[in-house]
Amino acid sequence: MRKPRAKASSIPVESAQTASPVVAAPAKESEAVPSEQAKAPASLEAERPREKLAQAEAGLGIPQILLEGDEPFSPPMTGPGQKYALGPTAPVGQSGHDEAALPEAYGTGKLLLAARDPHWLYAHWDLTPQQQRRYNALSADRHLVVRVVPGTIGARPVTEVHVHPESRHWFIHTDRAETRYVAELGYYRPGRQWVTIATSAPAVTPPDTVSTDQTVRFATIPAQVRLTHLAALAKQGVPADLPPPEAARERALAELVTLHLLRQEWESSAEIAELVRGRGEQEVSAAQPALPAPLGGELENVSSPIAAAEQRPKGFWLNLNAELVIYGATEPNASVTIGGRPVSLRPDGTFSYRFSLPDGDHTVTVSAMSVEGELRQAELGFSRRTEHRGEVGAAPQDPSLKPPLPGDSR
Amino acid sequence: MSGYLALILHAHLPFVRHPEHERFLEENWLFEAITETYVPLLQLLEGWQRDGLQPRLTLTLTPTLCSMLRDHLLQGRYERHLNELIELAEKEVHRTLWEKPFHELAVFYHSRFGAVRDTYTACGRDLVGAFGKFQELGYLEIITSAATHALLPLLADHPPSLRAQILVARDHYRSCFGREPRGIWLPECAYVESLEDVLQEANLRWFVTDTHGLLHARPRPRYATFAPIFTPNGIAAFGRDPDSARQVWSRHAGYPGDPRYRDFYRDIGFDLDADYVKPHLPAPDQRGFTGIKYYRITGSSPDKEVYDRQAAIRAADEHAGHFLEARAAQFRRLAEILDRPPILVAPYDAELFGHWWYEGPEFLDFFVRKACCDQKVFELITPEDFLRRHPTHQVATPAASSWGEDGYWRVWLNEKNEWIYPHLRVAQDRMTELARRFPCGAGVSPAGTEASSPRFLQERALKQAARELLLAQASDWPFILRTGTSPDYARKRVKEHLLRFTRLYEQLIAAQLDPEWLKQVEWRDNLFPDVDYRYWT
Repeated sequence: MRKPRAKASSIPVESAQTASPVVAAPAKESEAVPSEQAKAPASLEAERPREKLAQAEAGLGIPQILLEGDEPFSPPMTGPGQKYALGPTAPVGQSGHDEAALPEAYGTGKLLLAARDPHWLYAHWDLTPQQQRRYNALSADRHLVVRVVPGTIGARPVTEVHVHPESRHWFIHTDRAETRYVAELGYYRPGRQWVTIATSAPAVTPPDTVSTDQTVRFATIPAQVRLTHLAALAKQGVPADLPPPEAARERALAELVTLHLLRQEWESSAEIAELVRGRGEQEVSAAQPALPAPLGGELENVSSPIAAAEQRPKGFWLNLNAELVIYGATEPNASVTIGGRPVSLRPDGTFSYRFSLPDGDHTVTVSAMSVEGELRQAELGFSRRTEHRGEVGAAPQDPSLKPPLPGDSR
Repeated sequence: MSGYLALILHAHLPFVRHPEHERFLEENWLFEAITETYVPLLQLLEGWQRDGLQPRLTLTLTPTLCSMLRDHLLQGRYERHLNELIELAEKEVHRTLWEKPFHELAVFYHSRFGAVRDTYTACGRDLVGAFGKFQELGYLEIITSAATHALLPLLADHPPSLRAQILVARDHYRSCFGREPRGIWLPECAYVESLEDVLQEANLRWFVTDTHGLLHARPRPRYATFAPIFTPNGIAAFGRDPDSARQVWSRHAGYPGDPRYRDFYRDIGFDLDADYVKPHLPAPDQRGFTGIKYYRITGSSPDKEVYDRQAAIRAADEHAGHFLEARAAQFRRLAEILDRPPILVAPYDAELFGHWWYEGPEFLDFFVRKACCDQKVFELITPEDFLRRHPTHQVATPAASSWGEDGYWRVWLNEKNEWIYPHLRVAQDRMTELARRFPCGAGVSPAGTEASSPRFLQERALKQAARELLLAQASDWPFILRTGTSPDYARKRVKEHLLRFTRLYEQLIAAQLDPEWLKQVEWRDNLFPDVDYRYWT
């Protein structure tokens, strides 16, 4: 770890840093994912011998090249500040002894389900290790399974996730946004008989598209009346007696709306430095780096409520398409390729990748290599065959998606 | 006049107060923010008042921030910090006597810190009161936020916790400002439909969502983000305008990254000799920021050039002019499309102006002055004023959303911090159990009751349990765990509050309170003295 030099002005400072390079200057778009912050500089006491040396060197600008090879050199943090930053690296924890630890589990047996975003749910089950081991032993698969269904239990399960025997939580990907889900934790007995351990309360995924409902109701809310007295007012909402919108105006506004969603860059309380650093945390897709990642693929849907109204053919119609999402997790510092293409990991080590899925057989190879060179690989085979009855069109699909292998592979 | 611009500054810090240590590193968040953001903002307001301007801005002061600003221990520590900083600046003035560019900067810092101290002393160390005064004078609308800035959608399946976060905040606002809060800053703009009931109960009239919170509303808002919508409960939801946000925050073309501006990281606390800076460091045994920085961003290479204050001010002026022109152009374009004057909502973290972006207050000053004096295209307004002038809006339900990265709750619920939630769930259920089991605390102890009488002791323990739970629910801890800026501290905070809560719970259930320990905990976590634990019923 490099310590800051003694003299302020003449010698460039290198701070101890292993996080990815952060630059404030625009146009640097790195895919680098910010990794764990380096250990903080050790106490000031440790600095003394080095400072004596540095003072002896005072006045010399040591060319960077002479220092290379000592330690991996990372450029220091630079630019405007970052929320809660106390220095270029995270500080060492200050206070002394560590108190008792939190319990590993409370053993209530409850299943918690929370929606995290339009396509991800979080499930956690409160089983003690002993309880979990007992259920694992009863299970034919030797591990538990989480089933996620839309609506209520009894509906056809949308997703079944076989969880690691030691896991007590899982992030689950779901297809449908704006949907109420319920989850069941259980296991399969020998003979594929399902046994439920716990059922969750419902969780609703947020929408990720503009609404197709264009009805308009207006209400007048006087500022001086308490809301509790007004409750009925807004609900009654008077239907709009506005003239129907001019087509040209509607189109211009729709363009602005589409532009808004296209430009969404999650500027907010995220640190500027992280914003400048690049798209690391965004869901990886084959989209061009210049465009921020679309919100779960609704790019095509944004234009449809407004534009499609004019293009829709007369009579009954059906358009559809298919996509493939491959997702998973590994050590945050591993390198992963999917179908031969390197894939960025999010800081927590998760990743996902979307392919278009045309008719045909496709094989996708996923490999993960750890920093020490250990390899894990999986080969997934998919096949799509479409048969139409009546005229069926292709629904618009993100044009930047590619099929799993270059060209068709029948 | 073709439209309205609502500038909203959201000032928030988590409750960090460590009386058990003489100095504590993370208390520096508060001291830096006061020196570089809150006092400069107050100075801007004073300047506008002195020069007869009439801008209208909105400012969030979260309950945890207000509590810290009004806390005597922290006020004293801040004064000590500021005095040491001025002393350090004096030493710097002498040290750099023969190095012209550094010397000029040292002199600048010395006078700047002195001015901060003057302002702080002149308002009696009471920044909350000072901002409240500007609200009374009509310059500001001050709004509240959730009690400990919890991410409300993740509490939404436990309605009593949601209720407690909002009502405790409302009570605290009343005690700080002597009036009812009208608007609320939802932490991280995170909204779900189930918030409505408690917002209605608290009579909170408006909030802000991120752009897609409005654009994805059901049914589709006719005016996109250029007008608010009323939720079915009559609460107004304003959507953030992405164009105004992008120019200040954007990774591609945002103002703060300009190479002329001061670099945040090149602080003398890291650059200079350890013995020299040691007495002025925020933590006793490791390097940290002092607030004296001599370099500008310059570019992406590690070679930095000396900060040129005049050039940076000129840059701020340029950017303010650019921002003004961009807004005016936006309004002109919208005037062609819309049949009513639009409102652009531009919210920012207050700490952006001054702390992360050192020249931010100057930018704000230039912009407000230009907006008030040099143009007639738009008017600065607060959402409350806007609703009074225009009380008729479309009714729709906003979409669940946040302004966090990716637009939902990923930042606060991922592999780094998901471990927190199962503990919070259990603690929340237990708090409700306590509130139902001991409903009779009147909130105020009957006169003449001994401080150690069992009844009073129980009341104190229940209130402290409420405080510990609120502190554990802060969204700052999972945020810090995700971004890695101070993860050991964040982890420790969550753990400590949950452990203290659990211990209080067990003691209350077993009716075996420990008065000495309770007193200790009350002394350390002394947030919200009048918290009403019965909100959790």
